[in-house]
Amino acid sequence: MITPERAASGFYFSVLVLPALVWIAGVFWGRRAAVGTGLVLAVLSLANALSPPRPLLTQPVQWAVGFTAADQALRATLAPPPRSHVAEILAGGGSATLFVCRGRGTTDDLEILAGGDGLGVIARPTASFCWLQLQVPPERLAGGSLEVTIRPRPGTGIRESGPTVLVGGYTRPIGDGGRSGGAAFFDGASWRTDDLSPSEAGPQAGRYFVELRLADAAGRVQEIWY
Amino acid sequence: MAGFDSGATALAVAIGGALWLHQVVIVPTPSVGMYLDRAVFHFAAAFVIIEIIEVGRAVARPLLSWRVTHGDASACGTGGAAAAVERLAGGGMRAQPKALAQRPTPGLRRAQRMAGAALLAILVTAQTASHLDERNAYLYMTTPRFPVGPGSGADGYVFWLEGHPTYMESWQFARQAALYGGASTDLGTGDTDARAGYAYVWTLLARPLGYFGGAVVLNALCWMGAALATWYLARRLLERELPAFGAALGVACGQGFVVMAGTPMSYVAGFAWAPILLALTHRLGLLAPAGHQPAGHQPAGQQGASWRARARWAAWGWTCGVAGLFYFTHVVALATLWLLGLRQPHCRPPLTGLLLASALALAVPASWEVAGRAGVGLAFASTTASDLSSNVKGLLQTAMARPLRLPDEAGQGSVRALAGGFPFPTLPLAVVGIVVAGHERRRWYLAVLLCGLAPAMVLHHLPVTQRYGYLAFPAVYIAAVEGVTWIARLSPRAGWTVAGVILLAGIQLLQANADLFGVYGYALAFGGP
Repeated sequence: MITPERAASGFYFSVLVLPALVWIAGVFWGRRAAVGTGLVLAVLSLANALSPPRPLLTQPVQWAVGFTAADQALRATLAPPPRSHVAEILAGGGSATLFVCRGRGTTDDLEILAGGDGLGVIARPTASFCWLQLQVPPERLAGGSLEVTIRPRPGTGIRESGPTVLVGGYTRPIGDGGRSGGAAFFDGASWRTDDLSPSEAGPQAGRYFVELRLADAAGRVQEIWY
Repeated sequence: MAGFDSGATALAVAIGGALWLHQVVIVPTPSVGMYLDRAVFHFAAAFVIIEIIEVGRAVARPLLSWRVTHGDASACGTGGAAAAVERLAGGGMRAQPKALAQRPTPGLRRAQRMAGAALLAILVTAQTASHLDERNAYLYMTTPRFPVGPGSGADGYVFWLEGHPTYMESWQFARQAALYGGASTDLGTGDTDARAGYAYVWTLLARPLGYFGGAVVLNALCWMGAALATWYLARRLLERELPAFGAALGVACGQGFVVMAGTPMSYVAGFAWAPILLALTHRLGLLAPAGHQPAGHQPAGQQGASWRARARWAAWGWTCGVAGLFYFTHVVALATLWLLGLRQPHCRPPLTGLLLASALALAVPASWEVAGRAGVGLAFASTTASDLSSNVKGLLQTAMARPLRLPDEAGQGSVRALAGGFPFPTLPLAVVGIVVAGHERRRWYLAVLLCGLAPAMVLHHLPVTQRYGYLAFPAVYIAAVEGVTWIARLSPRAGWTVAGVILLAGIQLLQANADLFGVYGYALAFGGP
């Protein structure tokens, strides 16, 4: 596909920029280097001009996830990093805080459970800082990972306008070098991992922005489980 | 005209000026850092002003100072050239009892050069490969464990490119690359349209290597080009192969390159253009005169060949302009060229050449803006360029309205900008190298260093300016090996020079890669606030 953008940029750079690279090679390494550089650039330019475009594959940095029914829920399994120092951090006076990123809403209509128990709110999100922060008792971290479940708070109902929307995003699968412990969405009938956000167009993979941050006594984050 | 040491005078102005400012400007608790920042600004300003005054003196007494009669680069004819080469290459070192450059070592054999280049390539490849994805310092610094990261998620300020995590702002270059490759017609390319040269070369490499792989290879090639150009430059300046190769090793282990290598943005390319453009000035005989002409080239400006001299200036200007399509390195290179070109020993200031080169260097980016708007439809949102120009205006206003505040403003963070990119012992060794260098080489070091640092001074209000000051690296790495060589030569034992150069390279390698072992201080010093 020869688009005007492709043609215009190709012409400009082929005439004004690529010859400079060839010339530099020639000035420093002689005619052979210039010819070689020119040939490589010519082949690459021809391939760029004549072959089908190579699609740009990107993954979504963020997507929104909201509940549309009272019996829905989402689950994030927070895995510690390799060689976790959780015991040392907590023994040294550190703290464990659950961070949940909010897209919009008050978060009052959500129930957030860690290992099946509720957590106390430390700080609420602001306009410039999306994170709802909840205190996690150290004993909850003994199991090696932490399972967090978020669901509509019973009795608050699902409002048509203004329910809290949380945030998720792509992360690399463990098999590709990623670290996330995984996520799942309960659609009222079953837990599914093929689409973590039915409220967003298209299937969404990755994780929810739900993280456990372990800070030392001075408040510096030392370790993140996600 | 070469007898006046602008470096020493600038140093005196720096120390005196910083102390005097402290006495006249009320600052509740001035820190050592503030003193040093002011001193750096005073030094830079004094150096530039003295250089300009010296040029004026030279112009005022033309017949006494101009020893050749041909125009422009031809002013550096063979007669004056020999003396100029002596000054640039040997200079003060020859005055030292154990001179570095008493007799230039014979050149390396081709096999040795190839082996050296292979070592550089191995270093660049290994460090690039080990700093990708989550180990990319420019990205991991934005995760919550680091000072600027609490607002980000665990993956940092991330953009996912073919499944690889990269620094978020890379999306702009990626989208441009897709546009130039025909994969997209989306003209929402962000704020980096002016740096389209990087995106276009990237799209050529993306065809066979993929977008992520193409960017990584492009960065590695640029890094390698920077190391080779620095090697060439150092060989020209020091006339010794081992220190010259040591300077190239410094670049191959450079903190700025390691931090940025895995980021699909034009920083690495921008860094690389600095030594390449400087090396071209020598290769083309624009600064170093006829004695340094490559074989087969007519010495610039021999009688009847002034068109060739102008062609060389034009070619350099065009290449400099091409560099401006990657980063603002062209501005820094132009400033350096003027500073060095106006006051060449035994040479008439090549004003025509300088003007020609400058016009072309500025015309190329301007032509892209015209072509990009009209032919491609890009918006050219102003970012760094407007930051630079608005800050220059702001500094000018300060200079006019409250001149005593100017050193505080412009100097702010300048020491950090240098120390962040060149941690101990590189920077102190570079200072030693600058001090012991010959007069003309010291001028070269200072001009390159101060012009490279200038963007950090102009963009002083930004929380992180180290990457802007890193453009000083060609001078710092070459001066550092000169410092090591000078110190090593104080010892009566042979072999200390080799040991010193290897030790310096080893330290630089360890520092730049300390993050792989959980030591993040060096990377943060470069990339953190």
